[in-house]
Amino acid sequence: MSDCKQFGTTIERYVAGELSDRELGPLLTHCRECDGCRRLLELHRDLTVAGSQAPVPDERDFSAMHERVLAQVTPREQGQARSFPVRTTFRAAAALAAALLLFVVGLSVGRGLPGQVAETRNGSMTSRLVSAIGAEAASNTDLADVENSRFTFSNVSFRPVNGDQVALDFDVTTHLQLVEPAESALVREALVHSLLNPSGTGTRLKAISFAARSMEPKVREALIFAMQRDESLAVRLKALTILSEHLDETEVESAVLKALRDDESVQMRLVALDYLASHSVDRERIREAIEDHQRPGDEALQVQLAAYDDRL
Amino acid sequence: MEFSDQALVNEIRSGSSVAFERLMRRYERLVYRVAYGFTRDATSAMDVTQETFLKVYARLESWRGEGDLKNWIARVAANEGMNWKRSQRRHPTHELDEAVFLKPDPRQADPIIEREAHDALRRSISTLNPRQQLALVLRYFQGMSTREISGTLECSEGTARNILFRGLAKLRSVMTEHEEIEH
Repeated sequence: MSDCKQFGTTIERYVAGELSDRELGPLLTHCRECDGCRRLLELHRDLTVAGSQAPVPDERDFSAMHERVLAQVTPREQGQARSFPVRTTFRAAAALAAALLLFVVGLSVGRGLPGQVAETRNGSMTSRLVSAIGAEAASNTDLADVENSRFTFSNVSFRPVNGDQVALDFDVTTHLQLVEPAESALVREALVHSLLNPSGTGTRLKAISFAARSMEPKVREALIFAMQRDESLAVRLKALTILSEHLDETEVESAVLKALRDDESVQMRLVALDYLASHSVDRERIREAIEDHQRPGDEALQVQLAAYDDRL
Repeated sequence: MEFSDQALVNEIRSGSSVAFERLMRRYERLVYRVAYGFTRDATSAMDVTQETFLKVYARLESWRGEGDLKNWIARVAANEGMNWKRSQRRHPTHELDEAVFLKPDPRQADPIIEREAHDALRRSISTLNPRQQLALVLRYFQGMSTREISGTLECSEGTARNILFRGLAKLRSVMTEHEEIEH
């Protein structure tokens, strides 16, 4: 018993994580003979293991919890009581949160995402987005910070609402860097966006290269869009090359015939003719596309077509 | 840029839900772990976490910046955890009886013996006074140092060390009694 009193302070310090290795030896020797102290250390060990094995929730679980808390502490309508007297300094951020919520929820309804699940997911997404934008806004102190911000705001409009509040309406974009499987849905989505929206010529060419791996409907439409409307001849030619592998699809054949008829580049039209003629597309349709209206290069195209006819 | 707790609280008092969400993100794991220490059940711990943040929001006006916000939030979480335990005593459920405090010890192959040991430990924990319970939860489930525990309990480090030790010793004593009765 006297030993236990002697080691009581030592164990107290051991449990508190303050015992040195040098001091641990005598304690362990003591525990071989003292059942009470040994059980104390075993209990300490078991509790340490139990604590380390406590589950940590998923980020989405925490986000959902935030949503539930914020829904209870943030008044949804004007005039509803709030626990704190509201001053003006952070009103814009609160209004921003509301505006973004409307923006994202509106987006989900517009795209027809499945009801409740979509709302919950968008709620979490909005929550994280608003949190990130709010933090960035608060940390940007001068114009250079704003210009270098990772978020880009566009289509911004302001509308005063009830006293000192402002309703904001805007689109926000940010920059992400990811590594994804080449055929993932996200890669396909990104390549379609890169063809539909402003991006560098090199990026659009790379996107078309990836597009060849998976010709799903939205990718095909994006390629047709690029072939017919892209300002870069290189991009249009690349898109045409990829699409030429799918000339047995009516939509693609019509699009290439349109390129043959309308493209401003003679080179593009010649290449389109090569693909169409070598794929045994109806000669009359090809001839109509060439002779439909007089354009520079029609003569060269007709010579080329005649050469194909001769070979036949 | 990392905001101080005081700056966040000022923004929240100004009505910023964005700032309050930042505060929740900062302390959600602390609160959850304290809650889990009391509930030992993931779903209930998340419920307690939610209640804790609602209480934090409602009472934030009374926090005067004296002392650490983290410690104050941990105390609110511990109070909510103990409220939860009281409510479970009033409305016990089979599901909660199934909850276990410890993961199975691989040395103990017999599940009945394991279950009895776990039940004994769970019952024993409830016999500690609130400060001892909180000290043990902070130490083992949040991994707090004695200094941090002393901040949360608002006492000296020596007192915190003593509370921790006495809590552990009482736990051992009660568990030993259980074992002797059962044998």
